[in-house]
Amino acid sequence: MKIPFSYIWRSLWARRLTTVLTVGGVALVVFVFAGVLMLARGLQATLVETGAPDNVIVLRRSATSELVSQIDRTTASILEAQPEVAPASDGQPLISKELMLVAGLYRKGTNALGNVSIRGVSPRGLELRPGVQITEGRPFQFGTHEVVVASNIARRFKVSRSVRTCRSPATAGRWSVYLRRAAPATIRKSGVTSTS
Amino acid sequence: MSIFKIVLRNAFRHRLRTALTILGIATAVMAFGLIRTVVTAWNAGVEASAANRMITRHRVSIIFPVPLTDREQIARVPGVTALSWANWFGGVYGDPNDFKNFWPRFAVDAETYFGLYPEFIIPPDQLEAFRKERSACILGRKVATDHGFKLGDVITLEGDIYPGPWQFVVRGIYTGRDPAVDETQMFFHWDYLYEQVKQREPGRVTEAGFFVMRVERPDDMSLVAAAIDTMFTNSRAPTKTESEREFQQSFVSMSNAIITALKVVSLVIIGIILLVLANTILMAARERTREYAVLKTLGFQARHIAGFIIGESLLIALCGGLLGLALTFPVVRAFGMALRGFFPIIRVEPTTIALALCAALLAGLAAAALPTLRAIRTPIVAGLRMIG
Repeated sequence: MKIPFSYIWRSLWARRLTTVLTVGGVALVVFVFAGVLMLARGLQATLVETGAPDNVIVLRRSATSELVSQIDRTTASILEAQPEVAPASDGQPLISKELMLVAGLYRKGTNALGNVSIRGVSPRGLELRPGVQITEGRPFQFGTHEVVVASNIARRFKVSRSVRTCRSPATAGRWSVYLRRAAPATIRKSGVTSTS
Repeated sequence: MSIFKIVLRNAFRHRLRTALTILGIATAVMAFGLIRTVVTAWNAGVEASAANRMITRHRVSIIFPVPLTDREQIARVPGVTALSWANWFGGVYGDPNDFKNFWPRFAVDAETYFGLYPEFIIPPDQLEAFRKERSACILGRKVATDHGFKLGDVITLEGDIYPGPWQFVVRGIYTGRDPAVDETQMFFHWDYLYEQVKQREPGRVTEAGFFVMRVERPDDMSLVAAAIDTMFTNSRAPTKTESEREFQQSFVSMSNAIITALKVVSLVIIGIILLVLANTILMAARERTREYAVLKTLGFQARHIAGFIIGESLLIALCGGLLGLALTFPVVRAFGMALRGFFPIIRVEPTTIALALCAALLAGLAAAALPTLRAIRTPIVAGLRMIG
């Protein structure tokens, strides 16, 4: 078995330039292939796999995303009374009425305006997302202008603690950022969570 | 003349090898062309924006409306010559998972909107009919042909931002002034939206989604933007005014990461072309080491040898490039059909063609460099002694 290997090795070496070019060509093809797959997989992971299998999202009929969906309070109350909804630790239905909005924040470095989703949650919002851990500061207090921002947002956007970060047209007020949130990879790492 | 003949003969001495190389280059050039076309398609909105139009929207995000009453104040800003407003309607037609069923729908001010967009060409009688009927709509030519909508047809959309079923009568079909114009939009009366929402959801106020302005001189845009934005700084809806180009750019920049990745991939593809070609030329030149030694003995100069090798490399690169470009067109068409609605305008731009050909030819030159140097530097005796 030794002879064929040394033979292979010596012929590769004899034509080293050809060998290098071929290896380089194959390497680049593999790079492109892996890169494109990575891109597709990354998109899928952000968009598809951030949800927990036992969480259910209710949108309005024909709404294709959270952003365009609106559910009135009456419907939301009916949902709360549905027997399928799991009870929280205190026996109340584990449901969070949420509102999703988009705001522009300035990026660090490039100073370009980027979209950040802001989610207004009910008190049980964090209980429904066990993957979210607060790494700095404390959870926001309901009824105040406080938000929790994702660690990726804190890293990429100009978000400073305890100062104005965004203005919401609903309140036209100032929001204080009190903490960052970090989560395991399966939770989408962008988005600001605020009190509703 | 004879050099070209030798180049041609040499190139096709190893038919299989040359054919495989050409196919390899063609595939790479096609991939390059497709990726570049997708990048330009992403930027189509930016390219199509007019130099003299500006957009005012809510400062926080486009998803928040601005009070319609702002228009009186904006119209008075010096430099603004025309003003209109529109709302993104959204809505769902048929199966929302089919790309084909998505096209942008806007509620626009029927009187003023089309005056700001001279690139949408609407027959005057159709525009007149549209203005007279509250539930009328105007469709882009592409949407109309894709779905077979004709004048007088009724389109039913399921609203999402504005819930409930919505019916619109097709009263006009616009065509683009040039191929860069998006022919996939739909416009209907803003007044219709306003009145319907008032009836369906009492208490919900419909405001303007954004304002579109025409300015007298594009140079004044920053002044106009500053004037408008200062006016509303302390109102309940502060605004952000920018040129249409910047406005479109802000949408494109949301997918910046993907576009950058695509650009990197397209560069790597050029590298692949280079390596594939370099390998073939290297092989060919090595085989002919003895021939080159004989030619040199006969008195051929280094430039002749260089001509043979570079010529052969360029010839193969050109063949591969042309074949790849020929393949790009059907592939782009198929891609555009599959993702209809996602890219309103997808076509192979002349710059893409030029870039792809240049990439192939540059790779051809670079691939020939090393084999040429080797062939020229090999002494005659060493060349003759070479046994392959």
